[in-house]
Amino acid sequence: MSQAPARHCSPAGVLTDRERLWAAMRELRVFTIRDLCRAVNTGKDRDAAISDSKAKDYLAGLVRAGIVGKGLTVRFEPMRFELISDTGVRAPRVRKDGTMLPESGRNRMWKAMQILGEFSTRELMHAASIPGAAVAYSEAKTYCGWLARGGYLVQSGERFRFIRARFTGSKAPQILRVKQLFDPNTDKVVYASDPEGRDDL
Amino acid sequence: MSSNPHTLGQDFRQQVAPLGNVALCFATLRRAITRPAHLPGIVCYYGPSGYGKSTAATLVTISYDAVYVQARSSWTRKAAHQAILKGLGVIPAKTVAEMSDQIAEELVLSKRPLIVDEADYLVERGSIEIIRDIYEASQAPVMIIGEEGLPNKLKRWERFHGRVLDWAPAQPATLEDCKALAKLHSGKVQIEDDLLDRVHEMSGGSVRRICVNLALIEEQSLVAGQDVMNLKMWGSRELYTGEAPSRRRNA
Repeated sequence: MSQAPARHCSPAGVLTDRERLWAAMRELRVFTIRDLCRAVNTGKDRDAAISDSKAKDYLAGLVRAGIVGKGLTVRFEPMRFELISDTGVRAPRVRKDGTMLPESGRNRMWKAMQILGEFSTRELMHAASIPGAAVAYSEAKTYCGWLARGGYLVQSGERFRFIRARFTGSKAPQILRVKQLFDPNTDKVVYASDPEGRDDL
Repeated sequence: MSSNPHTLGQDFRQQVAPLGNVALCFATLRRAITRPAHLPGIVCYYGPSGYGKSTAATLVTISYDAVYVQARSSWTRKAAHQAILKGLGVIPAKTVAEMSDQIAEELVLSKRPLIVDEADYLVERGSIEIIRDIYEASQAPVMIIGEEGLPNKLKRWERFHGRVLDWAPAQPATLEDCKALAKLHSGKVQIEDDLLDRVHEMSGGSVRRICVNLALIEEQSLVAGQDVMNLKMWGSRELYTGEAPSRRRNA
């Protein structure tokens, strides 16, 4: 029997929409957009469903980047796609035009700080910057501040120390925005929006 | 934006990494990545503590999008595999054998190099073969980083030793490195060349000691309200040499 070799790697942590799509593509290997959406939207939670257009956007980028191949156009038949180059559990970061993106600045900082162990904001900024994708000083400063509040870093003067035990995984913690409706008459938060600002690319 | 990790590494070295050891670390890993298929793919980067190995490792890890793990003395076989899988972002399987397969599969597919820091611990516990297993199964470029005596310690593991493509000893900091560090770290005070010369001499090639001394000079200059400092103004004040202070003699 000729079968694809068994895959034993599945990604850790909560998955973004793109990561869910990527995991499904690795599972299916050959698929139509409909197959893909059906595989991804198995849960009952309708809010978490991934729309066709989102899947199409990501596929367009992957096809242009040469990671996914497009089948021949056959009339009245849905287009079939095939995963040509499996690059592992990490979903490729690709723009819609097919150019690849480097890891996000936050991910790079998160990685750099566990190696450096002890650092100043400026050192972290230098370590996490790569040509074409520099990390701004203000960005490094904000991020370190938040991680210190979360107990990942300990601050002493201008320097930070990474707490090894708080290395929870390869994905960088994200700073989210939540909007709340507050009523000062009753001193209550009446409504809170869903958090915004998750890395979803 | 180029997505090719090789060119990324090269550009990076030329642009922002003026330190000799960083360039050396880049060159070493690049040799493992671009090696012809018949050559082994493990490289070893070693040197005394304080030579800036970890800083170099950080820059290399970020530029090559490598998987980085730091070995610990408490590592069992299982803990080692789990740590590497955590770095890869993969949910670990139950047994060590399965985890080893997972690591190999993920390294092959993603084509990421593996960097193992503090590899001395693995050698001391006799578990360095873990790394060899992973290398054999994936043929992924692997860089192990450790202290000065690492190549010597590895001689006992002949099968591992034979698979090392290149041994790269970290170099002591040069005067150029010292100048670059001054530019990078002490923005508020200008330290003149004669004093930098002295700092370099007293620090015995250690990047860490140079940094400590630069911070010391900057701090004292700011206290004295000076924004330029040279050897004459510094006078006979002590610099940090890393040695325990000698007993004061009665003159």
